[in-house]
Amino acid sequence: MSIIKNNKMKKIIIIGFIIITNLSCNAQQIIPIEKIIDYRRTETGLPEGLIYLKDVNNLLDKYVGIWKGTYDTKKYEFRITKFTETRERVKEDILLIRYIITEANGTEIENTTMLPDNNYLVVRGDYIDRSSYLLTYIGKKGNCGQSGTIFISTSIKSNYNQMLLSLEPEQMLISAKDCPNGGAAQIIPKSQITLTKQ
Amino acid sequence: MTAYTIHKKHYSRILLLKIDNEIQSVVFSMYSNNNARNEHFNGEILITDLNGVFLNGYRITNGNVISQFMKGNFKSPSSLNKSFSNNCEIHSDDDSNCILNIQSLNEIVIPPKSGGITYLTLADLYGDHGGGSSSTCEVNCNSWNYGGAGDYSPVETDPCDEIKSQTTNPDYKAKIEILKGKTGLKMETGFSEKADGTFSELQNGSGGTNSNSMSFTIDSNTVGYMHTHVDPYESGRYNSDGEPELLAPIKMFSPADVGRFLELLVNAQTNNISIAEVYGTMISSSGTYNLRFDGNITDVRTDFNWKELKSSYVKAIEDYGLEKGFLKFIKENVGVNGISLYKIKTNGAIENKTLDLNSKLTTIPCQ
Repeated sequence: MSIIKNNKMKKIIIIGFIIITNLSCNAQQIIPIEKIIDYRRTETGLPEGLIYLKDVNNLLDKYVGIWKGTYDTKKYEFRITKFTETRERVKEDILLIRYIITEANGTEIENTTMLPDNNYLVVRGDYIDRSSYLLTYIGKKGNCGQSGTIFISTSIKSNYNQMLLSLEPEQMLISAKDCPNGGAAQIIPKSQITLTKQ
Repeated sequence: MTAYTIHKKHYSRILLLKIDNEIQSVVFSMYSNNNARNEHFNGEILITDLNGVFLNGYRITNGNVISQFMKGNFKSPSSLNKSFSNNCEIHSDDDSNCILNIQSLNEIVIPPKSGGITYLTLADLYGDHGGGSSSTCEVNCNSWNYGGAGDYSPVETDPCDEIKSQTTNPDYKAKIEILKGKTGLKMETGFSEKADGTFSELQNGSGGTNSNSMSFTIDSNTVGYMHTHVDPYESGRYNSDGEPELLAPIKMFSPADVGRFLELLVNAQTNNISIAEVYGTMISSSGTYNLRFDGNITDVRTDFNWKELKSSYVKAIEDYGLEKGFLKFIKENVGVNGISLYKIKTNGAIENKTLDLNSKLTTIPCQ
């Protein structure tokens, strides 16, 4: 009787050990999104294994909503949502920006508000650098330089009701054949635009 | 056997022959007038000893020897790029690869013979030891056929050898040094190179307003480009807390850079430029990288929509770092086999960066 009990105990211990080992192998490492910039600077990427780049400290929530502003007679509306992107071994909390740009007379220049999350025209978040959040922007003429990094920031000073947004165009080697007129004009302003939360 | 000389555009071989129990060696270099792979060679032939001292030279048209170069006064190295009118009429007087510009030579026209002269005698190659001479020997004599233009462009070349040859080329080196001094600017700088070894500066900020792009024109002779990816820089704007906006460009070939490289490959194939010569170079303060192709040219496509792949690229670099991220992006999103990444270290050592079967980054030093 005691031999049978001992064998049972052994089996339970072994199975328990296997479960714990499996759990630890598949364990997901959580890294706060504000640390992404540190890994980016090392130029060697994130640590091995499963990673969740998580908005542990809710740094992105203050941006979520609809922001409106005017620049150079054009009207801008940015719709910001929070999204968890899943890649091969990395999950990441990011912001997505969709936008409507209209001329003063109401003519629509661009409207990406109806596009699905994975469409290339939807602006995707990258990382936080100090109080700025940086996102990758690509326009319809993205092969001719209509692309770059969008910076957004908002502060307690405005009670998070005002946001600054600007574009730093991408430096790229464009094909003279595909872009006979050189780099395409930007539709997102390079100069800073002040937006108000709706 | 293949020989590597300071003249990048030459196809050079060492020829060995045992004469009277002694091994005689010469360096036999061919420099084509064009990049077309014709049945017959058109261009110049230079025969030197292993130290590069001139022994003999010929001009070949449609495979036939039409004139012989005779040694005149040897030019000092400092005058290599000097213009000598009537010297190198085909390759131009400032082509540093042209045999007539390398050595000061006189040209003597050889009278045409029936059927043409499509071989060189051993006397032409090795001097008096070879037996027979070009003026007396016409049939059954000791001679060597140098082959057609199809032999001129070796197809299967180790990219390591190509990069080694390139990185010791003084013209290329000079341009690399210029660009290394410009990685601290806020805008990229670059050059394109033609098959004849001439460089043109790429124009930045061309075209539309607020564009930071450099326009790259590929014509029938373009073989490569080199450009900088700059250091982190301040945009000049400040965020809501008054902190400067800091840009940190990715110090690796971008999807657009890969696009231009693939277009160069297709262009080379169309215009009969050796695929082995096609390159893209990226210079940053974190390293200098070279793109080469060692796959099957028929696999190359240029119909990618790079703007749609940009986000995947940015995240691959974020997750896996510069080298592994780039290679994974190429493997998973581009899928053209043979796009090879090389790092040129500051001490001149060259390393091939590749992924093994388990997608682990592997570094293979060039021998």
